[in-house]
Amino acid sequence: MPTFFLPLIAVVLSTSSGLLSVVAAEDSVPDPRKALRGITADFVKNSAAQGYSTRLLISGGMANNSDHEIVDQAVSEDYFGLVRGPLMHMPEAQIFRTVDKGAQFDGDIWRVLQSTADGKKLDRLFSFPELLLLDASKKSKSVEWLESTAKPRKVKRTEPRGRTAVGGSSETEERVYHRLRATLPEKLALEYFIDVQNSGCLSGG
Amino acid sequence: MLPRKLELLVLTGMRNADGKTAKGDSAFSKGVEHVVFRYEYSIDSSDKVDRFKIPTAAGKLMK
Repeated sequence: MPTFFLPLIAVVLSTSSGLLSVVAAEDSVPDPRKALRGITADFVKNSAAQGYSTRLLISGGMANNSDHEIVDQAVSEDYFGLVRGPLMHMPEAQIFRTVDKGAQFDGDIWRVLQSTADGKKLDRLFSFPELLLLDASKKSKSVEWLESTAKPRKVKRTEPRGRTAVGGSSETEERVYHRLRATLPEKLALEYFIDVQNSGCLSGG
Repeated sequence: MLPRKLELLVLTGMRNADGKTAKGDSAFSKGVEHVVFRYEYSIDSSDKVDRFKIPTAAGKLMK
């Protein structure tokens, strides 16, 4: 019987030019919570202005190691959607949806998304990613930078750093911060878990 | 800055044979069975998504 819950959200960031986000000198670490708020605001704004596409892979099951790798998989789902502001379109499944409503074309007529078992499952499992980010930026117990896979950049400084000029140039390392982890309250994990249960995916529905 | 990947991991601890649950992170440590739900989002914001033309019948169901 499940009794204890912990939700973690990990975010990998990028800019249009590649895997690069906040760059900071070795001695200054950007505030992760502030960065997460900024990213969330940018993402919501971008969603309304130009939209995005997203693919969601869900895997669920039993694990018995600290890396949480699933050894006995019970759930596997794959969804794709286009999002523009408050609307999502899933072209392959002929679905339009908002955060709480939806319609699916069954070949003859449009039906309420949640009126079928598959639609109900999708509605419970496939959250708009900006909602997850909003939860993470507003309700996180902690937010931290994860170690980057990118090597620190070596940058030559020509300006003196202090008041006393000693002349010449020096080389310094700039670390790349592009992976964040937010730990959310157990109460929120319970809500996510209830969504999983109500989706019917655990009962073979 | 925009997110490129987003992973939500929901961990659920289990009661052991004695009806007890390990405290804190030890509920999810090596050798301790726990339930994992992993949601992996890949996000592509590079192309503009045109506004959707929603059929009238579908729109009525979403009001």
